[in-house]
Amino acid sequence: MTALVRLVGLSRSVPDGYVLRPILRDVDLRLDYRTSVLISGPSGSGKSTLLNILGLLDRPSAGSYWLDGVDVAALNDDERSELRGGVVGFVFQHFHLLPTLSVLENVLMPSDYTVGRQSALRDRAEDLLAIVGLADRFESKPMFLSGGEQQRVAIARALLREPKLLLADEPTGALDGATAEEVRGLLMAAVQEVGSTAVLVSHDVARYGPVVDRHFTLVDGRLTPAEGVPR
Amino acid sequence: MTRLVSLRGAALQLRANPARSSLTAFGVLIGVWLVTIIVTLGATAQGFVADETHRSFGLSGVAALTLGDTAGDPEGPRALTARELNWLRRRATELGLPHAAEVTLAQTSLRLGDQVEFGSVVAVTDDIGAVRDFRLVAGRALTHSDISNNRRVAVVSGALLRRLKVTPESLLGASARSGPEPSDIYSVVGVLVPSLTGDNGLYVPNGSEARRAQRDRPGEVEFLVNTSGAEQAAVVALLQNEFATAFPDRSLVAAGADPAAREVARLSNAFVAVLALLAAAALVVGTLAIASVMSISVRQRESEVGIRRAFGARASDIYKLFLAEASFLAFTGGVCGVYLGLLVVVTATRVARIAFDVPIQLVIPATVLWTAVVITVALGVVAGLLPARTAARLDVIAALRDE
Ligand SMILES: Nc1ncnc2c1ncn2[C@@H]1O[C@H](COP(=O)(O)OP(=O)(O)OP(=O)(O)O)[C@@H](O)[C@H]1O
Ligand SMILES: [Mg+2]
Repeated sequence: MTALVRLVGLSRSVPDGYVLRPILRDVDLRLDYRTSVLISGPSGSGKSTLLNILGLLDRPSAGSYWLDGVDVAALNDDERSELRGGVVGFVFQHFHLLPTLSVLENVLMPSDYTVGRQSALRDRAEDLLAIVGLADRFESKPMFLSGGEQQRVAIARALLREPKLLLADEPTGALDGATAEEVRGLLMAAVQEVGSTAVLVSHDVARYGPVVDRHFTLVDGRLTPAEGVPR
Repeated sequence: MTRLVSLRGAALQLRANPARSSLTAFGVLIGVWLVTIIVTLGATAQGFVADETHRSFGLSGVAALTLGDTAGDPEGPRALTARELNWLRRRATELGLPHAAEVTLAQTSLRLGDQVEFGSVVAVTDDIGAVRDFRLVAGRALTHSDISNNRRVAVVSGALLRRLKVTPESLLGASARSGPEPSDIYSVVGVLVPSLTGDNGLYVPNGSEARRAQRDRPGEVEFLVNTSGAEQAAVVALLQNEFATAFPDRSLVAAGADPAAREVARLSNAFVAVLALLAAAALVVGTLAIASVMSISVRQRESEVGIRRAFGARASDIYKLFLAEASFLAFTGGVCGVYLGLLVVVTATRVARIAFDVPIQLVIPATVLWTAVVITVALGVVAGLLPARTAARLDVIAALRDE
């Protein structure tokens, strides 16, 4: 059986003055369907860069990446957009809701870029909002929601099209302890329900370590399995 | 489907960001508003000038031939005789020119109800409708059938409206009297647009009236031919030469070829050209408004672009989103601009008529206005192209980075 994600010898470097500065070095990774992964590491170690490459927002400088059986190096920009829309969902640290749209419209935004039955997506959006506990806030504007509520909307949005790969960069990094705990619980439950593989980036190992299948650390651009991983 | 999505997005954007969107639409609105006012007032003014020129000098397309000074005749010019008129009719028919004769009688009293006005009766022959451009405020023009059947009907000058202080409709059906005989009573069927110079003409079909006038009181007899401006001079010269050969020591002069009329027409064309330039400047202002607001819009919505791209929007989807928004705003602004502009012009002409007694007739050049809207939308699209391209090419990662 093919893996959802397969990275082989992947590296990324950026121009820094006259030299190339490596951000990711020789990363190998294989992720199965329906697993959850935590990536932790110090600031500036390349975690967001890795997520951007996994989400087809960035391209590696070297190495190969197969997503859902597709060699993404061969794809043009439109094909990458299509694959991204079909397979990947994002949750950002700072929510990134569209301020002019209502809660329901925000969750439905990805349907603008989806072919298929819009009414089915609408039903799903309402179900997802119910799962994250916002069934009575469909018409609210994001600015009238608390941080935790905004992130719950963002989670519903990310899961609307049942992505095989959910990428979350510090999903609770902007929330206080109790809210972070609540949002983490909802996120993990929703991911479980949809059946996505979740790649979570967080330095909060204590909170996420116990609830994921696998845990990697990224230090200085190198990805290694963390010591004492649960299970 | 994607086009619908973009249009819906544009509408959503309008609802979601009313201040910025209405500002853009407002820029276009002002542009189209000015264009509407300028173009409509220009056309109205030109129509007004043309009407006044028509009455003062004769319509530019119509040459009015009258008998010129007859050298050595102590009695001065006399009217064209019936024989001469028949000769002119035959030649005009042969040349394929619409023609008619008008015989202006000397001062005549016109009675409308119990009011009396002094004016002139103009007896018209043949198909006057093919020659004179009767502009009516009420009723109908004289028809070919009225004239060939010599009906006792009349079309009266609009100047009477102001003298008698009545509405155009109230003149319809009134009886006008040109003399003491029972056959001198005409029923009014049409009222002409009032003019500033305000002749008191009462246009009636020809017949005994014209013949009697010619015999008893030689008034002004004009033979009108309708020609286009370019060939008018040649046609007039031809008729003048042939007439001189057919009727030695009688000569024709052409009133419609009056250089003053042409000068006025030339000036009013120049006036309209200047207005058209102003209108073009107004449209450019509207376009710049869209371009600047759209580029601000792109900068403000960088993170939205990043978010939409992250959820599968292709670069072309982003391009369409911004382009649809620009076109939508331009169209909305354009249509509102036309309507508000017309409102101003309609009000202005009404005020001119009622308060200042200027008998101006509104002319709405619909094709010009719709062309202006189409051009504005096109300019809106053009103005949206560059910002839309900028948006489509934004670096997604940078756009998603937290500030
Ligand atoms: N396009 C780029 N050009 C230059 N430098 C870049 C670029 N993208 C990332 N970097 C640099 O690469 C390094 C890794 O960045 P990245 O955002 O992946 O780190 P991170 O692990 O997510 O850190 P944090 O925990 O603070 O979010 C940083 O030093 C960053 O400045
Ligand atoms: Mg980061």
